[in-house]
Amino acid sequence: MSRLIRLVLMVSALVVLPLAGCGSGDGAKAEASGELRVLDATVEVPPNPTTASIRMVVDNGTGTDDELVGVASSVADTVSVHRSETDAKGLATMVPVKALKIPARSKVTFEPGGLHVMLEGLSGSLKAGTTIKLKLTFAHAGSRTATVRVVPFGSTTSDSSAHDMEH
Amino acid sequence: MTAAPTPPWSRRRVLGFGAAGAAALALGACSLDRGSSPDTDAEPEPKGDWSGTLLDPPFPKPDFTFTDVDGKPYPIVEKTKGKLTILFYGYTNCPDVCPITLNTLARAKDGIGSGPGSNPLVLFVGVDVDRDTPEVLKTYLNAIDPEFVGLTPTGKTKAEKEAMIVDSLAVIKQAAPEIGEPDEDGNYIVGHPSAVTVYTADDVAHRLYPSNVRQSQWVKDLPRLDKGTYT
Ligand SMILES: [Cu+2]
Repeated sequence: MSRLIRLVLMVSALVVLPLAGCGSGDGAKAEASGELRVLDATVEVPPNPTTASIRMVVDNGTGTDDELVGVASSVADTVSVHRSETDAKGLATMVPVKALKIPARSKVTFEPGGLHVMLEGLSGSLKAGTTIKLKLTFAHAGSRTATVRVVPFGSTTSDSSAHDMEH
Repeated sequence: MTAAPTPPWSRRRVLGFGAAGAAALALGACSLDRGSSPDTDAEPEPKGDWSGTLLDPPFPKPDFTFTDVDGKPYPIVEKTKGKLTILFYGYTNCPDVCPITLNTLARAKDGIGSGPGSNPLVLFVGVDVDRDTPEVLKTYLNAIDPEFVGLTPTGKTKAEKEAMIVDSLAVIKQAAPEIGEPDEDGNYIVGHPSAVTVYTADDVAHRLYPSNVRQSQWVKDLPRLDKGTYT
């Protein structure tokens, strides 16, 4: 593919998914789309076939503060929202998030080393190039079903965390 | 939605909480100041272009014989003698910090390519004794970098195995892992030390790194460490 075509594709991808390269975590101001949408949902093929984590951006383009109160998928026994943290003792751990605030006209990014939708007890192995469904329930906006792209393992490094994406 | 209820892992079990565990905990409680907020965001740009914390005095190696993924004894001191060695403790059901940290190291190896720093010996110790079996560790690390060495603690009982984890962590002043309360499906969260310890050819660690060091930073630091510089 020529550089130019690739660039055009990249630019159009950015227009369709304005968040793909610039999420900055809780509270980033979004263009008011008038809708609550789930964007750019991906899951890497995990090195442990039983456990994986979904990354995505939740874009609340409405004028109403909302909360993500439920996640579900048929591909895993347990699906939950977690936030990775390091505690005062220097232990890396994960904290379940029962209700995640999605303020009005804001985007919340599920990024490496932070928020993720944790899939435990995966019923089959995830295959790159396929998709899975994730149902999200919001306190105000109701439910949304996101199509999650399964991508190969290995693209996520510490460089992918929020600070590096703030260009 | 009201505030979240008390999370179940508040009743979590501190690994090897006995005599040895208590000693390790005491050490862990006064573990090093990492010099930055303990959040999971990418670390700030380090002083003098180095990442991590300078250890003075340096840390020795944990002198224990773990078990490798093929079930063979792995005496750490003997096997890593004179080699640039990276030691990280985690668990295979960890979907976020562990694979990202290990993948960042694997990609840093690619980034360095050849020469000093390009072939560190990466040791990953599974702290979740019930689930981190040698077989599971083997599959896990093969998916990340088949050259990484997976280690499980050696012992006849679970208590003995957990004691080896806790006692080996005490050598590098890290807190004992914590095993969360299982949910209805039997899943549980594990707290594991986020620190990454890097040993140089002189068989001590002069620097301790956070788990979220960027690939580009490892590409800078590992060759220098391999050449024996650390400041
Ligand atoms: Cu999690």
